[in-house]
Amino acid sequence: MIMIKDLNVWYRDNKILDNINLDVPRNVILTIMGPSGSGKSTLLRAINRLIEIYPGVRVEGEIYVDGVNVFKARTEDVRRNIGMVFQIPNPIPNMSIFDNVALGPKLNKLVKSESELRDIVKWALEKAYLWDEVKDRLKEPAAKLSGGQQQRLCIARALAMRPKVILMDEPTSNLDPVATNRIEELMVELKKIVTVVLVTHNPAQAARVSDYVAFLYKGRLIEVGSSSQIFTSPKNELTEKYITGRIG
Amino acid sequence: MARLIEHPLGIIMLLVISIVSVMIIFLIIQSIPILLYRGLEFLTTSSWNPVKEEYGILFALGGSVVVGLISVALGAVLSISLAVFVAEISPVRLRSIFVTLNDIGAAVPTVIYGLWGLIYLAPFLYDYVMAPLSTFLSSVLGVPSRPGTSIFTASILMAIMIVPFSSAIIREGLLSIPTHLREAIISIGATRWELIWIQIKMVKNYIIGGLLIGFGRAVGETVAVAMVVGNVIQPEFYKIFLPGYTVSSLIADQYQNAEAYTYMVSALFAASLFIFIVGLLANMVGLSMVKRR
Amino acid sequence: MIDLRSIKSKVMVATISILAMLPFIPIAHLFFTVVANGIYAISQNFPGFFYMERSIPGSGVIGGVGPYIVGTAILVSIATLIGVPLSILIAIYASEFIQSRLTNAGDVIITTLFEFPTIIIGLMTFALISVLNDAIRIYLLIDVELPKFSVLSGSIALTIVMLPFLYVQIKESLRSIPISIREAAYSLGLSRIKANFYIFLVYARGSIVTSILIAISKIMGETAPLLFTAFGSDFYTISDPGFLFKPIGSLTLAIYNLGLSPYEEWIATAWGAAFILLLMVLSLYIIARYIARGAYLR
Repeated sequence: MIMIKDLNVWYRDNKILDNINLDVPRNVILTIMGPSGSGKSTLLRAINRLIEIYPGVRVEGEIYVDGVNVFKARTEDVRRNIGMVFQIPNPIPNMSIFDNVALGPKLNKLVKSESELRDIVKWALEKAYLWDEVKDRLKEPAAKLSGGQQQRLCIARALAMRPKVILMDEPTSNLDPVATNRIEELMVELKKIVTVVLVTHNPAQAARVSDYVAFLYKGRLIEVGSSSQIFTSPKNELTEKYITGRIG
Repeated sequence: MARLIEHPLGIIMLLVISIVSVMIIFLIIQSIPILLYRGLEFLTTSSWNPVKEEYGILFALGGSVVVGLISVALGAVLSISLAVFVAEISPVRLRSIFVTLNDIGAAVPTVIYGLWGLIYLAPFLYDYVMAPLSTFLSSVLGVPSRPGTSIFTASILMAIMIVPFSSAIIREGLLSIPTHLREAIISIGATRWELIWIQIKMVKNYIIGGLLIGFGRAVGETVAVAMVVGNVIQPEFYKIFLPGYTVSSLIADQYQNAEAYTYMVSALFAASLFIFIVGLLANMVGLSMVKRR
Repeated sequence: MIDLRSIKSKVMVATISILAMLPFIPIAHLFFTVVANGIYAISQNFPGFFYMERSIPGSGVIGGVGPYIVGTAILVSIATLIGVPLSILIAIYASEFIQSRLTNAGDVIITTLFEFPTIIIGLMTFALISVLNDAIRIYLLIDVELPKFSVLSGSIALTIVMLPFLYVQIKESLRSIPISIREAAYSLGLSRIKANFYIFLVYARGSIVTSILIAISKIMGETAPLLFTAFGSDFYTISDPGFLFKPIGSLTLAIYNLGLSPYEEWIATAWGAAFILLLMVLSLYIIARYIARGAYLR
């Protein structure tokens, strides 16, 4: 589904990602874990080319998503086909709940009619387990929702674009344990319809939800494998140190 | 290497930059004829006789500098006091009221200051300051006359007008001093005045910056000064009780007939170029002081 | 010793407080006289003051400021209609391409423009049109003169006055949008134009509307840039189909010219004009502050 070949990223003169190679199969959750500053978020943002909105960043290499080389395609098209959820829940605060979810389909002209738009918003909110909580208050500003609800709203916003891939950048790091739990359940449910790439600095979370795990350290991909293999018998010493809490 | 225009919007940016650059270049082009015709005499003589095509703007340059210096000197004391009062002395609840009053003073159109200055300030200053003082200072400062329009009046009016600007900048500096530093000063047993004095010294970049920006405004201000300065060609521009000219007021006063003479338009442009350079230098140094912190 | 220190402190604090109040005396007096003289003048010819032309000196009649109000409205409207969209577009460019050479050039040139005394902006507009006229005559060999003193050149001058202020303010508003909002917009695959127009400008609308209102209140009170451009006129010109190419008056030019005149009727008219102008400028200013406060609360 996603194939990353010889990816290098620089910020000004610093190399942030060093020759990354990674394959992600369809409909799985792959977790990229590593200590802060290891380049996890950069790697995630390279996949949908969001990294390019930061001045001073240079990217080399190839990334294929669903067979398309993202660096050869239009950035808008790449990002449209890849959903993204961020560390801080970031609905547009002054827009309504409905408008936040409708934003992508509407501005990208993916729907032909108002009723189709309403259907897609409902579908996305249902998939994000949020519909029942907000169906009577769709016109309220998104800022009125709780943190966990806002994050599910952001997941719905991403889903409304009908992406094949969703990137999640530490989506639970600002949430309480109950909200975290709901999001984790949601991720497992979501992999039926999308491929999820999750970034986390929490090995326990990686162990709970992932099918595959990649360990990133100081811009290098140290080890990739199935979740059970990485957490039971890591091949690399650094990986073992990380999952047992000795670096991070 | 990045492309020059990354996005179609860049074309609009390029257009704006081009238009502004072209205007600055035209300003310079328009100034050249008089400089070729009069040379340095344009700056070093005080004569303005369009009929004979004689132009020397020393009197106006002098007037501008005198107005700028006096207004900043007076404005300095007042704007520092006002800034200190708002930031340090007034009760916090009242602070926003003083800030609003201060900002409203800055928002009043300058031509209204000019009208007020002409009708009220000039006669007031004549009666209570210039006439009494001139009895023994007339040889130095000149003999004032009714209705009191003079370089001195223009300086006072500009002082009133620049205080809201300078004090806002100084206030910003004072309010940016971190609380822990203030607490440190208080904890060593400083009196209120000592606390204020230490803080004034801490924000001296803001003070110099705010005053230089005030100087730039005083030199560039046109209509308010034109209404109270008297508009008389006065080679002895340092005799501040006499009416005179500043460069801006000269331009405002003379522009209507400018096109009737060969070199007058060019002379007015060249004059504006010089005050622009003076004002720009003051502003640039001022802004860099504020930014340096 | 300690006593002396605290006495000195009290004296200095009192001195500063008194000095701090001094600047408010002339400003309060100015407000009082503008309101008193203004209302008196308007009451002498109410409601004619708002639509009549100025009176004949010596007639003992106070005329009106109708043409000046219309002139200010036209000049400010045209300048705003050109200046606001232009500033928004270049501010978007500057906030999106922070390290672009074009942005750096724009920052230098436009902030320099910010420091220009406004009289020079009038002169530059005048110069621009003069040089264009020379160019037309010499290179195109046609005898067409662009009018130097006209509504259009006055509006251009006011546009140039408002442009740097708006550019700097809107650019700062856009640059202070949290990166999380930027990422949200771009992760949905929006183009720069759509992200800015549908999301960022809407997100920062409070501070942007505030800047626009303050800019309008600034140019409304400008006199110097109009001297060489709009030039001034004491009569209604809008009935003339070519009025855009003819000189026009404004409240500020009227205050300047009538205020300096020797006639009592005209000076009274100037006070009335000053009162109306002050009311307009301060209303805009107060609305702007009110919106800004709302924007902070949001």
